Amino acid sequence: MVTRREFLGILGGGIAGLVIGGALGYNLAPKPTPEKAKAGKLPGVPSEPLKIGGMWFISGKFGTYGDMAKKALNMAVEEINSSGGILGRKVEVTLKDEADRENVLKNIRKMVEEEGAEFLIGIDSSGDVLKLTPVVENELHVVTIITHAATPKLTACNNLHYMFRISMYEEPIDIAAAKLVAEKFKDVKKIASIGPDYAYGYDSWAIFSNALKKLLPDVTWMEPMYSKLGTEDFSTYIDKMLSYGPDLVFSSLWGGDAATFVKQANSKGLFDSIKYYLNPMLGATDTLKAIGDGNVPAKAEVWGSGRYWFLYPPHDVYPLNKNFVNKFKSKYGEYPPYVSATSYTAIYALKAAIEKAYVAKGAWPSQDDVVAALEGLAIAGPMGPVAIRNEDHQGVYSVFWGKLKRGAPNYPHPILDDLQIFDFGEVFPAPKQTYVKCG
Amino acid sequence: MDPGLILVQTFNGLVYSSILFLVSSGLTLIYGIMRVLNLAHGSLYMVGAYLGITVVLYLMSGTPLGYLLAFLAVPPLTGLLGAALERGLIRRTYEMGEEYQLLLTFGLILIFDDLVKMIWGPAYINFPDPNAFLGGFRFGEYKIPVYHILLIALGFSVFLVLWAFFSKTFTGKVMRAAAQDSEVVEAMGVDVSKIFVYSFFLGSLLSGLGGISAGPLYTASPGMGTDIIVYSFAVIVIGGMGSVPGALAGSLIVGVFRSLAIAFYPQMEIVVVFVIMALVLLVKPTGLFGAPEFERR
Repeated sequence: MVTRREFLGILGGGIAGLVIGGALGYNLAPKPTPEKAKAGKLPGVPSEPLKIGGMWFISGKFGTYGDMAKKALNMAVEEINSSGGILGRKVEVTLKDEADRENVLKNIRKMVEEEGAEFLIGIDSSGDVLKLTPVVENELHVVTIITHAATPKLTACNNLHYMFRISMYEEPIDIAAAKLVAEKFKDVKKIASIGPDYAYGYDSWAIFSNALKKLLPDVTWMEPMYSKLGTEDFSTYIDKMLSYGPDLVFSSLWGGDAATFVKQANSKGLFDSIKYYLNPMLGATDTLKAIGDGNVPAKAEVWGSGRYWFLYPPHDVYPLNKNFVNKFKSKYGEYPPYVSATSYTAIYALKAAIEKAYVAKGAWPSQDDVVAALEGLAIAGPMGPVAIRNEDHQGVYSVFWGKLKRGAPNYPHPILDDLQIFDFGEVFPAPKQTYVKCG
Repeated sequence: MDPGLILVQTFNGLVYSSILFLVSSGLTLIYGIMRVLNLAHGSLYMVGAYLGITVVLYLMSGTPLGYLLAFLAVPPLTGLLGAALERGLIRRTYEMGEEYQLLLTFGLILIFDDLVKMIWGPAYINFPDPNAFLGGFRFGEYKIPVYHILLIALGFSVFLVLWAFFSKTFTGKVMRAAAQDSEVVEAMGVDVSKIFVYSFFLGSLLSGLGGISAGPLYTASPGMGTDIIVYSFAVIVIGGMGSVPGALAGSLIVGVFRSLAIAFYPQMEIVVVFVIMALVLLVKPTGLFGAPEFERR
């Protein structure tokens, strides 16, 4: 595991020397360097464009994810190509639709075997990522950076070689939730919960409740409830909670479900009778937009987290995030959602690793060289510094929890305020450890 | 079991019944009069919700007046849309057999979902909560929102209006007659093609009314018409295809049982509806109200 000190060491002293014109440099000052802009100038570097294959949900109900990713990728690719590409190679990203459910693996293979993708990024669904793992590891042998799928199993239960995950996953957020409760809401006596009726909902509950039972053993727990994805009417669940009389509700609902639940719970008086409501998926701009300022509860404290929050790290102390947010906002008219931040960072992580490996080798790196360069890499993304652990290939960065607040007049949707930051050292389990059962 | 909880859960079921009734009465009406199974009926529900969002949120920024306007303006608009679909597309399939109608109306679902995405975007959109200004009543540890009460009242009122329309007005009677034998009605000098447009207008108006009613409770998203149409089919099979009182009975049964299932045996949520449907089909294949109002030819 990378300790905080090691990590800061890499970030502080190492980064400038290690990474030639690394991500940090390009992000902060995307100045074109004319010598490098001419393709084929560097020895050992192929002249044809570098193809990266991406897969997200582009169409259908979850199509917003692909949209978010696409916007960020356009930004990253434009920035990189306008300053000479990666070692002089222009970057091209081709996208395939994860919503084409029967052909997920086929399309991934196609991108690598027929369309010449040298690296892969993306994947929204945890189910898909687990199916993809053996294919990438045993057959395709291409470096793949996951930007969204959040099951702990990916990095905790596999021995990954070619696959990496740059995005935050469920477990640290849920562990941070338990810490938040134990530190700030000590008066909690009874906890109720609801989550989506599939692996994620059950895992999230297992992590949160097991972590919290260690910290606050005297709490009583209502039998957890699960609703099918896309549930329209939560009245029944809400009244069942009310009959139990909890003072805290933990909800792992996400997307439209998370927004619908908050609205209905508000009108059914749940927030008048509980004190705290925690949702690890609430801190997503699309969900906050759907909740809307009008549905922010007046009484109970509603807390949310996520994989990236556009106001953290604070813009005044971390200009990279400020630049990313401002550029995204002026280009697309909205604040960047988390899939945008993680996709953006994935491209820059690849770039940094390729450049690092090139310096060591003096020629265009092989897949294994890029793997070695990604292991232990520290990269500055919009979400703050991300370190990629050697042992499990998981990107680690700090976790935020914030209190829901009306965003007006400055923001078009509610925002998270009173941010509580959990350093990755306190909330990430050690590599290969998880509260979720592998297999 | 806590009797208070059973009561509120029954009430929750009635709210859902009410929305189901608005949608399924339109579906059963179109089927009863024209023998058209309109799969795209749920799309008009979706369009109703999205038009509602446009009026309430974008034009009137969440004011009570916006809600009033939406309830007055949206259903006639979806009615007109339905009538236009009948005139422009569905009419052409009457001579072609049911499989063409199913294919066409299924295609319409896909087209409407994509149109909604193009116009309103792929993300889900929430209505501002009408209970913010309507409020609610305390009932023990529970709260009964006023909007929910209004919805139940709306469902029953629409039933009464439909009942009066079909039994008291001339047009209603002609529509019932057309349902029984359109050829004879035509022979008596009635323009049946007009009756068909009326039925589509009325059926689609009801679906749109369902959409604008449900929108403020739920979240508008592309594809939101799919769930409701599946349950609506169960409703009209249980109640008897073509029967408006049947749609009411079916909606009450499906809404309440589904709600109680979620509350007490969550795994049974979807199963319970289709078990009831299967039982009804076994005992009375024509459904509970076996189409007394609209005889099959």
